[in-house]
Amino acid sequence: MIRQLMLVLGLMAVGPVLFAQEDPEPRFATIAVCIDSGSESLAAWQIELSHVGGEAEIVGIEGGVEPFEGPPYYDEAAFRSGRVVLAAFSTERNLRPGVHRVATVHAMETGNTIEYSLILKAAGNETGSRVVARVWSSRDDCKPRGMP
Amino acid sequence: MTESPGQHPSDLELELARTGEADADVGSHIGGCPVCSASATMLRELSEALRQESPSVRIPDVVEARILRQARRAASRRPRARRLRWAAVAAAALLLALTWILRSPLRSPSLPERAGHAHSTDLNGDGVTDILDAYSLAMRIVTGGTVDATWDIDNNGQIDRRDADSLAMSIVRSDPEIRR
Repeated sequence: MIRQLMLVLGLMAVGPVLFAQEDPEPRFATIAVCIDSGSESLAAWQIELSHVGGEAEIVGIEGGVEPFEGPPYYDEAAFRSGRVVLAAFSTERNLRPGVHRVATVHAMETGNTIEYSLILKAAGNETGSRVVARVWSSRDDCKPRGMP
Repeated sequence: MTESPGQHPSDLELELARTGEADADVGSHIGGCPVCSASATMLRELSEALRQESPSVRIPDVVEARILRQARRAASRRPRARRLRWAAVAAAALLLALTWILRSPLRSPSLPERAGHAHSTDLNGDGVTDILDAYSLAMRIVTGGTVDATWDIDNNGQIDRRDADSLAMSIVRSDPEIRR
């Protein structure tokens, strides 16, 4: 009886250690923000970024590739909410059309199913006219959609 | 401006200019006076630093009402000679209270909202204030195009690239839902 009682007490003592699931290890991820302005030049853009699924915290934002190599405008206070508005413009001339890496987002992620939602709020060409564009995020580099 | 010609505006008037509430001649003085322009820039930077560094604080309505009541009382019972002085003190107290209020994101309207009476932010006239408006302003500055006095977003008496930056910052900050 005493041995059984000790066995139960022993299991109670070590059980939480044996059966506890380890918290997923947080990791840092770099996400490229990509915009394809098609045949129009891209001079200004504004997006809303949020993450869906899993846990992620935006920890930093920096620029993309020329002409948007400088950090975009953003509100650091919005990091906590997981939704942040990014925007930038370039006053350079002869801006190119096509695919642009406009920003780079650094996030601390936990779990396996982190996805990022990007909503294009505005995109404009060199004349300041609104243009149709597509926006997406990539964990690699920005490649035109459909290309390997 | 309350000062006689040739004098600099007071700190209070510089602060009112920053918030777009000063008389037009204060703005034009700041525009042409390097000393006041530097002071206005300092006030703007101080305000920005307070907003970024300070924790969110909401002034209780009862405190705000008490300050206003005391200010009105002080302004009404003093002889005229001292009234102006007390009005300045009361205004300074109000200014402090307003600074406190503006430190709270929940009470602090975004720039286009706050400056609606003083600034025009829909530069391209499409009914939306977004990054295309900031771009439009930046391009006018770069190309030397015509500018409007209401585009002095940072209230420093000059319309320059910093106004385009301020407008862009207000745009990415403009959604209170996102700030929560």
